[in-house]
Amino acid sequence: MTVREEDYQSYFEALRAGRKGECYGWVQTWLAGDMAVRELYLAVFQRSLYEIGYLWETNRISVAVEHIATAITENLLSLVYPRIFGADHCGCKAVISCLAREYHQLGGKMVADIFELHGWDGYFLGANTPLSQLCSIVEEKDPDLLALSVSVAAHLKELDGVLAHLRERYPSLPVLLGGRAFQVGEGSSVFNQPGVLYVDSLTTLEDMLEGGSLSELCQSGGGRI
Amino acid sequence: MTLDDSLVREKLLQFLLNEGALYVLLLDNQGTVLDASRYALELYGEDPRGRPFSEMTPDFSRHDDPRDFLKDLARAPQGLTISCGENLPQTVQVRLLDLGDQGWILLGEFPVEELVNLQESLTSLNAEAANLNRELYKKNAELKKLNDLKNQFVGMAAHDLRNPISAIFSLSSFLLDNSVDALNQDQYELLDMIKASSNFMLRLLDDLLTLARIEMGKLNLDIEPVEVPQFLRKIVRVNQILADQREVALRLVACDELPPLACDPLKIEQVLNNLISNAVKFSPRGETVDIAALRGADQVVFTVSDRGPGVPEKDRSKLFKAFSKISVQLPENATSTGLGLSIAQKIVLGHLGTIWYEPRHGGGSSFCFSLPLTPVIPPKDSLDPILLQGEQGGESSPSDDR
Ligand code: B12
Repeated sequence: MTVREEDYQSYFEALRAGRKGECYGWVQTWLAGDMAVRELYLAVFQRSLYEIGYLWETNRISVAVEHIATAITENLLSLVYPRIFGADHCGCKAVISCLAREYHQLGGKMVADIFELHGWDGYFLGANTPLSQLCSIVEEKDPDLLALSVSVAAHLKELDGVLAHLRERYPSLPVLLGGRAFQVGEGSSVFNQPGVLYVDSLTTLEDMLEGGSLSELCQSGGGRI
Repeated sequence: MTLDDSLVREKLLQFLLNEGALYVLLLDNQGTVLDASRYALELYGEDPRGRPFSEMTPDFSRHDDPRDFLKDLARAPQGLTISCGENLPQTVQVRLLDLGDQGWILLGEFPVEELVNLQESLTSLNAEAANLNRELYKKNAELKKLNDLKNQFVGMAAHDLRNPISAIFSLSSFLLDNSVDALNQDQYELLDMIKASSNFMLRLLDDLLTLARIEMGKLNLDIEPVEVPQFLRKIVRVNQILADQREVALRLVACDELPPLACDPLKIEQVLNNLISNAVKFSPRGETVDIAALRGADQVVFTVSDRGPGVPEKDRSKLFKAFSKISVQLPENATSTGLGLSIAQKIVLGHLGTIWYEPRHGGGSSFCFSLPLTPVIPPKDSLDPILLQGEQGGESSPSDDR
């Protein structure tokens, strides 16, 4: 099932106006119609937030409207959880996190959910996670894979140091990178290094999970990257 | 045409004080607050009217004569930031307007920046709460899987144990019945204990199997219309045989006229048998157990009351939980698997009813459960196993044999 354009427009109007009940209603309707989680995430949540971001950038809505739209979306995600967390688990674990000072967390959370949906344990550490905290959770959960989500391009200059630290401390832990930040400027090419893989979208990630290439990658301890 | 000046002033003042999101304080020439805008009142929490302004603002109280300070301030063009104590926003930027020997007006703007910060904090709190919510869902799903696993295990173990134990039970019964002459008194008593213990273990295994099955969402209800009066009379008759052994009388005290009740009669009978056998177990010899079925607006309420010791207040919330140990002593010769009330609760919940405990007027216990008269029975495979785990407390703080 795909989202009909006019339905999306009604949803978007409600989101922009902060009418959360209406937004809940739409999401429930889509879920009841058996819409794929990825479709809902990309064609509704991501699209609408990008549009909200654009309206804010071009000064057509206030930061308050943007905040409310984001807060509503955060809460809408929980409507999907009964479907996500019911999946049979395959025993693979992924830790997904944002870096310190990164406050954009929705993308990373969706990534964690996609892992869950495909039978992985997807532990999401949330926004603004300092490296020390990230490491202690990696040690606690002992994941097969670590995924980092970066939205603000300016945060990329810290990424090199973070990756070096992680590679040294956990040489066989594959690291996936993703997020908005890589889509501008020099992008992901500078982070081409062993054990680190840039994944350009949720769709690519899902293909990798379905095709089994991620599990293989983890078994090789990231050596195949 | 010109506007009436005094009317304009009055309306403006009214607006500033009562409706606008502005900070306004009117002070007399001693620095006492005469009036305050609604917004200023909200900021202070306590009504500042009639109190010296200096008391409310630490910056002012440091001066010997706050009036001098106010006078100086009235000359400062940039105004000042005053703190508003613990309320939010915590500060407000004000200007002091000097009214000469009449007093002062303190006029402040809505601190937009602080409100923006406030919104930012709320947004990030919301984000954190949403993450916690996600974690909770994840944990819950994990726990549910573990519980299913436990139930599968219990089911398998109980099933595998049932055959050997039932062999012990039937063989000891056989020996007791057929070899009496070959046994001396001690041997007879020992064998009798073996029989009683294996019988108890069989009941325990059956209860465990039932509970595990229900928790896994396999409470298959065969709903059919039931004529309540006949149904109750039959149950009372069957239970009377057991009650006679303990010299307890069963009495059907009330049974309202009812339309046929849609329920699974075998399962509801199991519930009533459990409640009645508990009541009999805890009744002193010679006492009576009362049974009733009363019609409510859209439900039937079944009640089983005894004149036993009752359940202490502190134990009532544990009553319907499996394996909960409560402090009421079992009477001599009575046994309990500790699972009966828990099973009863799950059966009642499966019928979309509720079950609860009430102390009986005049001493003893009443166990009650209600069943909807026109039930919307959920299809078998959609029974929510979480619901059936009966964790949603309320007055149905369900549990097990006392
Ligand atoms: C909501 C929002 C915020 C919220 C975030 C709240 C929250 N709980 O997440 C708040 C208010 C905190 C915020 C703050 C800021 N923001 Co902002 N924000 C946005 C907005 C409108 C939407 C972001 C979002 O949630 N998108 C939806 C998600 C689902 O999309 P996504 O993040 O791209 O994730 C998807 C993919 O990228 C991918 N993905 C993401 N991570 C990963 C990881 C892996 C491993 C993989 C495989 C895939 C993957 O999967 C996701 C699903 O498809 C965007 C607008 C936009 N165009 O993105 C701006 C935007 C991201 N923000 C921006 C800016 C500049 C800021 C501020 C600096 C503004 C300021 N001056 O204060 C601050 C910075 C705060 C900080 N230090 O982090 C810029 C970033 C520009 C850049 N790339 O450098 C954007 C793009 C707006 C713009 N065009 O100017 N923002």
